[in-house]
Amino acid sequence: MHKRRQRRTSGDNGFASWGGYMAAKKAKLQEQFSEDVAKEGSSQSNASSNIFHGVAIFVNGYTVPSADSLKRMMMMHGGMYHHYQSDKTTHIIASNLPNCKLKQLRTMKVVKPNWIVDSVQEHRLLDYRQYLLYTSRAQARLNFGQSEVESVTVVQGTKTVSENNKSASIIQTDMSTSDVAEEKQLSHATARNATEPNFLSEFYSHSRLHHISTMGALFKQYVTQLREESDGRFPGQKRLREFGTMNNNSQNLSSDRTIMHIDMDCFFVSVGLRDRPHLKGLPVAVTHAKGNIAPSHQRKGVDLAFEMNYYKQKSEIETVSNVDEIDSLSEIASCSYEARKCGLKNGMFLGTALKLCPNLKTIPYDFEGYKEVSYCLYNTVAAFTLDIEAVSCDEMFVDCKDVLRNTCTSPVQFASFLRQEIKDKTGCSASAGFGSNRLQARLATKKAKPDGQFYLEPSMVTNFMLDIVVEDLPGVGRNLTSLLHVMGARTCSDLQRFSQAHLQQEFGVKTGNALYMHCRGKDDRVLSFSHQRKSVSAEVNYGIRFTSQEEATAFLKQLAGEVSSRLKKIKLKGRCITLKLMVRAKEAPIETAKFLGHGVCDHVTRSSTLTTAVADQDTIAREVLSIAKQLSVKPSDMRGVGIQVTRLESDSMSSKFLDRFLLRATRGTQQANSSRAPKEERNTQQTVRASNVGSPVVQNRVSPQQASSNIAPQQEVCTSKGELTSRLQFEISPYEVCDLDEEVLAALPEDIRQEILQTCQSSSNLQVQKDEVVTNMKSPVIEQVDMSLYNSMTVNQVRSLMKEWVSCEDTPQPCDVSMLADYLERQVASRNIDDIILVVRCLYRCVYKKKSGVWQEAYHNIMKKVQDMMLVVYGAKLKLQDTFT
Amino acid sequence: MPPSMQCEKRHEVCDVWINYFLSICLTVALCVTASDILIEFLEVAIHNVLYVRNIYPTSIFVRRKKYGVPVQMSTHPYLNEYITECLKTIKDLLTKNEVRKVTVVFFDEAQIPVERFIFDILDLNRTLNQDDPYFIKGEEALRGFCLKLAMTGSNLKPLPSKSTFRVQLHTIEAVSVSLAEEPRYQDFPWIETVEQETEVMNPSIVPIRTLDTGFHKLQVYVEESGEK
Repeated sequence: MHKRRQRRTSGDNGFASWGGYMAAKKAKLQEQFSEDVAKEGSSQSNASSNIFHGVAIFVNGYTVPSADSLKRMMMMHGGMYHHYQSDKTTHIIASNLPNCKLKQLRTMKVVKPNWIVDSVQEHRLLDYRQYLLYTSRAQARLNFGQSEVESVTVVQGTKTVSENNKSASIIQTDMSTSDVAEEKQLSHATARNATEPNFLSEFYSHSRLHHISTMGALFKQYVTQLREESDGRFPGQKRLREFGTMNNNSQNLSSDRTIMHIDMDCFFVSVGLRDRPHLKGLPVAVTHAKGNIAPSHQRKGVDLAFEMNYYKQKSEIETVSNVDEIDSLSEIASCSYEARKCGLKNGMFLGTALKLCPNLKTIPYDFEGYKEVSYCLYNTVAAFTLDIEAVSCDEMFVDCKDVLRNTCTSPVQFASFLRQEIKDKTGCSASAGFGSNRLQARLATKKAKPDGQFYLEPSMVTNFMLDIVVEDLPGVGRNLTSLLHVMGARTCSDLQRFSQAHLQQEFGVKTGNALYMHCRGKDDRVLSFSHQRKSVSAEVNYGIRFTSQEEATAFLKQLAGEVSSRLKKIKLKGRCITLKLMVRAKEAPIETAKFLGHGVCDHVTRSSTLTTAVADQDTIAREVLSIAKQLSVKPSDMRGVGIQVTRLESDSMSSKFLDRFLLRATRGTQQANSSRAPKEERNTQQTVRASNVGSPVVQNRVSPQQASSNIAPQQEVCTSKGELTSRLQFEISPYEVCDLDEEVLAALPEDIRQEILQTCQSSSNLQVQKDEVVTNMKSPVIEQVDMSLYNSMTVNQVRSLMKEWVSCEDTPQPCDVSMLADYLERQVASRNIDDIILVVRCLYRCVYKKKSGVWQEAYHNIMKKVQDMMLVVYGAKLKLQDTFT
Repeated sequence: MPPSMQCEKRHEVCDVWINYFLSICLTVALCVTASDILIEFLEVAIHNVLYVRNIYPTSIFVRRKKYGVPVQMSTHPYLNEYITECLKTIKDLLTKNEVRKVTVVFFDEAQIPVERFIFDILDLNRTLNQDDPYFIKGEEALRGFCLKLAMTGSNLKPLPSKSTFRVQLHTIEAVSVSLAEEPRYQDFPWIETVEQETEVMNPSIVPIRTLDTGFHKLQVYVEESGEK
């Protein structure tokens, strides 16, 4: 096929000999076709019609149904089938065309094979425009008579710990219509794309996977919260003790660590069955669709073959196979054990599942129910112990050492008691597994399911592990499984034959070691009860189509608001703000194959670190916008936007960073003081410290040998009150009050002293002030003080100071910039060009890495001063890199 | 002949005047030493600059060891003669402390200067540095320069083909008159330059190294033309 096409094109290019041959061949094929038509017509005259009269198709590439069956249909219904595209061809039939071909065929009508199939079914020639393969620029402008509903591929998202990996699925409806029969989940007035104001809230309120994926994090947070609020009493333990004494059989009380793993049995299903008791015992699946779509209801414009191809490439799993066009593509989130018996699996397409189990009942998602049951589950367990590690909304690890010891019960007793309680309270069954570590507990649960419990006693472990298949080990996914299978390891007993060194060599040190340990039932991962969020983010890579900078800006602001509200919800603030952009790859077409999807993208990520932790929308938005400005991505090329906040601190912790600074500073001055500085000089040092806090980098540098140089500008410091007071405002943090030397206070001018005392009393909103002060830190005093710092340094010290400066601050303070420029100017004046080049190159590298426009500007400003000075001293500029490309 | 040898010889001859003589001798010797070291260094430097800048085929250079590091010396007689003659003059002027800068200027085909290696003599010290009696630190500095110079080529754009070079001295005006009249230099006359032969167009500086040997402080850098 491929070869033939090449020939055709070369024939068109004027190779006469080819042309002659091809013309003859085409004519002959045409003849053969008409002959076949005659034959077919005589044999099956009843089915034939003339609906395709005047239509001549050429099938390009792989189609469903195949080219051959299309040919037959055309034969039977009066159409023409061209083996080669010619100017007589009226339509091109294709399921999927590469971009380059699309360009070639620009003026041709490229139609999906369904057009033929549907036309035959309807016994009339349907309007081909509804079946256009690509609604590209040229074709999309046509005024469709009917609605067109585009569907969006659902990306598989598992319950991930962080929110970053969440992917979203929403169904997009065209503006004019609301033909979303199956997808009742979603509102009809869905915001169309990211440029519309309510897009973001729609996006997040409708994304199922968003809900599920955030639940794990939610419950981790919940456990942490419970632990914080706990008063150390566990009402459940008392009940358990009574229960234990009732069934008085004091079995071997395990003294060592016992980990319990609780997992609800097909959680989504059992929650759904609470108010559908009549479905109990039947095969049930949770999915958003109701069943297979009747052909007439089939949404137009869906390219099934293409998507199937995509899924096949992506997953190579059997669930995909054997899907017909009318089969529902909605995935099964969870299915009951009855359904599993028929071979159903979670994640299967509903269409496939219905084939395996025709009487499958489907129930919709019930997010409120899941939440309710989850909370109930966690509360129940929390009544016994708070040594809980939440895994997801229906799964957790519990360290039961304390419970068992306090209540003198065996794991089995505890499990049956707890499970009964869960069942009573939630109406859903849970399975529990016990082991001496997380791995064993988890594997035990697997064995316990459904609705059971299993205590993997230490003595049984060795035998138990032998039959575990490698897929069941944590961290062994599809890739690793296939690799292990290639190695001949299907079960843990196989795996145990490999040496640790061999496994490490094969899979890397970490994975190899984990495999080695796990296949022997060993697991040294400890439970983490209090969960610390590492990052909070919001990302949208669907529907991002900006036409102007303003739209992009507005959206970034909205997204910043989303992140901000998430931060506030969990009472955290972050210091590092990262902007993630998905930018249309250069070669990628402007219109993605998937409607409003992101297509092929380059990923660009930049972050900036702030001096204080923030959570408010404005600061995040400002930061993100400045990063976006530096990246200068064309708004029209943006395909995905994400904001991530890391280096989180809790609200109450927010002053920690500052505190640490001050502590260090105090230490520095104390050392200086110990070198027997006279009293009045201590005064100066105190103020020097104050000035240093503003620019953290410099601050770190206050070391004993520099203290003497700090002393020099004493008079100036004392006289420039205005500067001083503003800085002192934040310098005094609560604990430092006691550090304040009475003599120093006394030595200060009256108004400053008052200021200090006031600040001491009301230094609660410390960091707010700090933020303000940092931005207006320009003061001659500091320059003088810090200059002397620079001067007493070696080049290497200057360089490391500079590195720290660039990496710590988001925007260079003007005073620091002029300070460095002055330092360099002096170096030029003292003809120290060797050192200058080192410092300047170092600065260049730092700034280059920083990728920050403000910094680059600062670099250029510094360099301009240096070069001016060079011209004066040497009559020539330094040879420097001055572009950041 | 090394100065220390000279010193000892005189010592043997006149032991009566020993104290007086030694002191004079030391002064003279040290003066000679400072310029000798510098001349020796300049010789090594010029040879290596020529090697680094690739204006002659590498085959005319042989590798020698100087200051404990490998250096390149030209074996071409005419080139060596030129360099030696230049250095002779420089040495004479150095003893009188009449040289400000020594520059090696590279010209392109059109005789426009494109690159200048500048040996800026910041300070010429006549007293022995007490901290470094065995000249270890001094030699270290010279060694450092040689190594640094070898790397400098990578910071510079290559010279245009058919480039030539000249050694230029920056000195005081009186010297240029005396040089012209001095019979010793008749075989190797010095000509006063015009500005377009010294100034590099639109220069940018690449520092090489500032040496402080204790005897002299020397700053070496390259001025590279922006229009090379």
